[in-house]
Amino acid sequence: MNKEVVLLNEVKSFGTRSEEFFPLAWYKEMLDNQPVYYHEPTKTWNVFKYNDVKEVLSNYEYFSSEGAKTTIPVGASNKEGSIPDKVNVNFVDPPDHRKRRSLLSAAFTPRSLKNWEPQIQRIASELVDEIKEKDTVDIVQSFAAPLPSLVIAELFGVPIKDRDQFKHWVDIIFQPYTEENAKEVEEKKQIAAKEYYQYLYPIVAEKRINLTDDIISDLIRSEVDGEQFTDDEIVRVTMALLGAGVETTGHMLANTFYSLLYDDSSLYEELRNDLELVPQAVEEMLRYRFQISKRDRTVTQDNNLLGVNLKKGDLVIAWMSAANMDEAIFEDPFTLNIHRENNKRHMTFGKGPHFCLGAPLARLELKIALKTFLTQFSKIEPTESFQLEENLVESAAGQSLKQLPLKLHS
Amino acid sequence: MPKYAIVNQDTCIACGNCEDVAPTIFELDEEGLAYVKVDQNEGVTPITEEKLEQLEEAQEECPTDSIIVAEQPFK
Repeated sequence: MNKEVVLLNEVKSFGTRSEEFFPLAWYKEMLDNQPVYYHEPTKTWNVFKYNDVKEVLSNYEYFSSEGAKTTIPVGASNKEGSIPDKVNVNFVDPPDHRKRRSLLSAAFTPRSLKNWEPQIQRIASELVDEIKEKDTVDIVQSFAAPLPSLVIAELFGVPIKDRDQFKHWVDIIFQPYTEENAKEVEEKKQIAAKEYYQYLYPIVAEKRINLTDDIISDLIRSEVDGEQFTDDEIVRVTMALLGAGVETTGHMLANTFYSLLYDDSSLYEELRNDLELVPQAVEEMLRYRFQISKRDRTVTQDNNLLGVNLKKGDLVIAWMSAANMDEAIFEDPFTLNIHRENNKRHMTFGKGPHFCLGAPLARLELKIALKTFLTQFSKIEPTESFQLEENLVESAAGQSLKQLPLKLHS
Repeated sequence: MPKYAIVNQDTCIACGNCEDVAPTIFELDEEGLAYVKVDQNEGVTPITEEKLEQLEEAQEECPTDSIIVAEQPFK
């Protein structure tokens, strides 16, 4: 399904990468002054307040995921790079959504993830082992970025030796583009999608004969109302899962370290002294340092649910990361506070029927990664020369840290 | 007609939607998994009349269809 893509960087263009990386000033301005904002050039309604965002994401009878336009450019537009209709869970409403989603969701529940915990722990420990003798390390390249792709490669059951190649394809397939470079990027995406497809197809075919204990095998076994996946569909499903699960988690983990270094330098020690605090720290990081959550919906019938006259066919963008800064819900929202009682109500994973399928996996990875790291190192410190602006790069996840050097103390 | 409810914790993805829309019926355990709080997810205590609307909303909101409602107790 190819839709017209509305580029969100046209709704708001930031002066610097750093501002876009952490757009709290803009969110505050919008929350205070223009909580429901019409942007003429892109012809989009933009909502920022928690309850409005919640309404748009949950009320699918009025705000549909099915529409001619989207703000999520998914994969590449050739056959290999597109997601099969049967499992495209993003662009469909209930009840079809439920059926498609249930083909996927069983593999990602907290209960089924329990079985994967030892493997995720092993991956985190190995990465920590590799850096434990060092004085200074780039935490992005040595820990935050490789961890989620290693985990997903493990979950898929693909050979670990191919993981760099794997990540390379994912980076290209989900690379963002601007109006100027759209054509060039699209060509690269198509090539990468084709290579990925040709790499994985024989692996899927082989697993069909020898089912094992991994997600590709689970997808082969998966059946709803007598429907099953073909090998072709499975390859394309894995691509969608990679896009959703690798870059996002890596981004969050890198930002967590950034926050520990620059938002509150006493937090590292507090967590190290009480590892029980890690889950709530993870939730606050998801609220405070994940600034790229937004989704669009199409209005299905004229309504006034957001206090303005919305017309059938209008595109509404729900800025979830801005909603996480809504004072009506979170006390003192512009401050990092792992002890705030309702941090878990953040909207980073969405709300309603499209709530992120991979949330339990992301949470588990973040918790294990952080605990493993805290246990190994007594202290971390920033390096003097680090300049944020020079270390950000535009990625599928928005402005992301390409490197983050830090000093380690064992 | 009384109604009884349980959460299938094997399919629950801990999204918290049910607790959000029906806080008098659902709660999340330590892992974040939802359960029916009146009877510790046993499905044996009827959900009172005035909560049925909330129950229905929660069931609709659940992204994985993990809230199971019946007219008979589950045990």
